[in-house]
Amino acid sequence: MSQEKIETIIELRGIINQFGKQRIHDGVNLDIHRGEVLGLVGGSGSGKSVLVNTILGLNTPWAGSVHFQGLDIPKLSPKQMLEIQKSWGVLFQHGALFSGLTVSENIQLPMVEHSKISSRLMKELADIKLKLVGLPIDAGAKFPSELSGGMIKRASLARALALDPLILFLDEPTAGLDPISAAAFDDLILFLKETLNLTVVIITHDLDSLVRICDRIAVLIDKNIIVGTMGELMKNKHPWIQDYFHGPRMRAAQDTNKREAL
Amino acid sequence: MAKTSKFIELQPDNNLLNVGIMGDWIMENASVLESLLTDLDIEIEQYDSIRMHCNGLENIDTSGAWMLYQKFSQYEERGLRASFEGFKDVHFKFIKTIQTLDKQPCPECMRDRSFYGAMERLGGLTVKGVSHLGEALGFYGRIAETFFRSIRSPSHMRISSIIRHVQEAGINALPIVAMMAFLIAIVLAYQGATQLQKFGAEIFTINLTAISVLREMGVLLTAILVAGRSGSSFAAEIGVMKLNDEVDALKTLGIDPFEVLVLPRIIALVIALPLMAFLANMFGLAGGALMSITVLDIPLNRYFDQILGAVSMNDFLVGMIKAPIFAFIIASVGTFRGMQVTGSAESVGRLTTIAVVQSIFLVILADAFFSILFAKMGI
Ligand SMILES: Nc1ncnc2c1ncn2[C@@H]1O[C@H](COP(=O)(O)OP(=O)(O)OP(=O)(O)O)[C@@H](O)[C@H]1O
Ligand SMILES: [Mg+2]
Repeated sequence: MSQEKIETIIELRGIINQFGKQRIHDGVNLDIHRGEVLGLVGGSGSGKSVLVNTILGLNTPWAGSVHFQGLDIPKLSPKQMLEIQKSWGVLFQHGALFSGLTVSENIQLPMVEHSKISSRLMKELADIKLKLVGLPIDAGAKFPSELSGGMIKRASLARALALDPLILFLDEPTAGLDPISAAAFDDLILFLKETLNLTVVIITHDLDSLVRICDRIAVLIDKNIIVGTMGELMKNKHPWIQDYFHGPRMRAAQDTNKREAL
Repeated sequence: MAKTSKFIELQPDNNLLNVGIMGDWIMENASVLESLLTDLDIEIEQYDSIRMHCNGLENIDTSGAWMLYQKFSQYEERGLRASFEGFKDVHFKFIKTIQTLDKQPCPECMRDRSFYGAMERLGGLTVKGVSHLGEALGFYGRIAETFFRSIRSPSHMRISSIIRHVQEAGINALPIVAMMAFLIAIVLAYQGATQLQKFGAEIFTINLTAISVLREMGVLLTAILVAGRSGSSFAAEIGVMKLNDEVDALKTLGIDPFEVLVLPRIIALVIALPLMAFLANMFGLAGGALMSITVLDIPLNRYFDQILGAVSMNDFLVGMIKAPIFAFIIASVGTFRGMQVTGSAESVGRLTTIAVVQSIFLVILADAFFSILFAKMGI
């Protein structure tokens, strides 16, 4: 990665978000590079989900600009927006599977809407995506209400992958997964990044994932963002960052990762 | 017969078909690729081996990898000698993964469509029908039980909740109810007047309007309006709470959902609907008055004399007695259907519709029953 030229695919400048009198972001700047896994961390309620929604165009910022591959997101026509949205995959914090459709139909829905391939191929691709995220094939025929919490996460990831996006936004993908599945999830993200050159923005409270898969980490703190690699952030003097990156859980996570690397 | 395109290049070599795979094999091009591969199926018949050259392949994703892999295994199955070459490492790794995933066992879940299958489904429907009946009985039983429990210990009566629903289902709907009754009375009076004029009996228009408003129209139309307005919102509110597991959450907190969700709505509507019906009656009479002054040229004092002569207390009571019963029908059907919601957002929509249609139907049925009953009793 390091020898390749760094290409910025998403650029946030001076983002201000405000709900009523409560200001969430106060001039956030952030560059997301192609092919990286960027971790987004911060305390609960620090505005991680809101920031991702801002990038996705679901939330119009009070001030500031969002550029995706040089295009100014809030100023795009609906048609241009649609073109861009096809190259995004989103896993929402609460899954957001369509409750009236089976899992397999959920995965096929973006294909039905945006591509002209035959329905047989759609079905096959949906199956392969189910397997890719580690769901049994018979889960495809189930409705979201019949799934466990962890299965919902996987099914939503499969849907996010439906159109083979360039960039994947994951809002707490491993929350609610058992440690083995969470590790498998990390493996999958690494695999996709490596083979498909996927860019991934991942909101997570899972320190193991953070250590294992993230190239850089963005910390949302005091309504602003501090970005760096794990090593850089460890040296940062901000008390919250100190607590976060030197807490006992973080040490444990790093130890595991080191042991695995050996 | 060498064919070329942006993605595929065919170069026959005796019995061997060389296929150059090029460009971006990604989702965006998937439909083109699919039809190219279908064409290849026909082409391949004349050869006994195929070699895919992937040096020119630039990008690949799940859809491209799957199509390539699947063609490859299809040809192998047909007894062709198939081979790949020139893959980039990452692409090869990806195809490999697809292959391992595909080899995973896949349980076949077939539906039995035979005669026995049909019988089984018929039996299933019967059981479902019977259990629905049981469910409804159970629901009304629970309402009764919760009601008597609340009466014995009033702390179980959710007064603030009842007040909120009286406000939402009743007070907020008063303007539309008044308006509707006023207009209906005008319609009735107008139609009555044109017919009765032929006999020179215009004055009886007043009797007609007053009696039909007080006995039937006021309460019936109010009930239908409330069924559409509150029956649907009861079903949808409770339905969404069920979807979000809020109803289960109440149970685990030791709070009876019937006590906090169902009973307050029923009691509130039983209180509100009679008030609304009363208002509807008054505005209906006002509508009649307006018509008699403007169309029939009968002054207000003669209008009231006529009404007092024509209408007895019984007519008023016959109308009003129906109001709480209609209210009970609407509220219980709405909450019952709401509690039946499971699974999907679609089921909220479906059961809300059922709640409205069914409560209107039952209200009209009950009204017909009352008409016959009162006629037999001679009231
Ligand atoms: N639509 C909204 N209206 C008003 N306030 C909102 C809205 N959405 C989010 N907020 C507020 O913005 C803040 C940030 O919310 P956000 O959902 O981004 O938190 P988060 O960082 O994702 O937290 P968590 O890790 O718990 O998911 C919160 O204080 C929340 O109350
Ligand atoms: Mg969040």
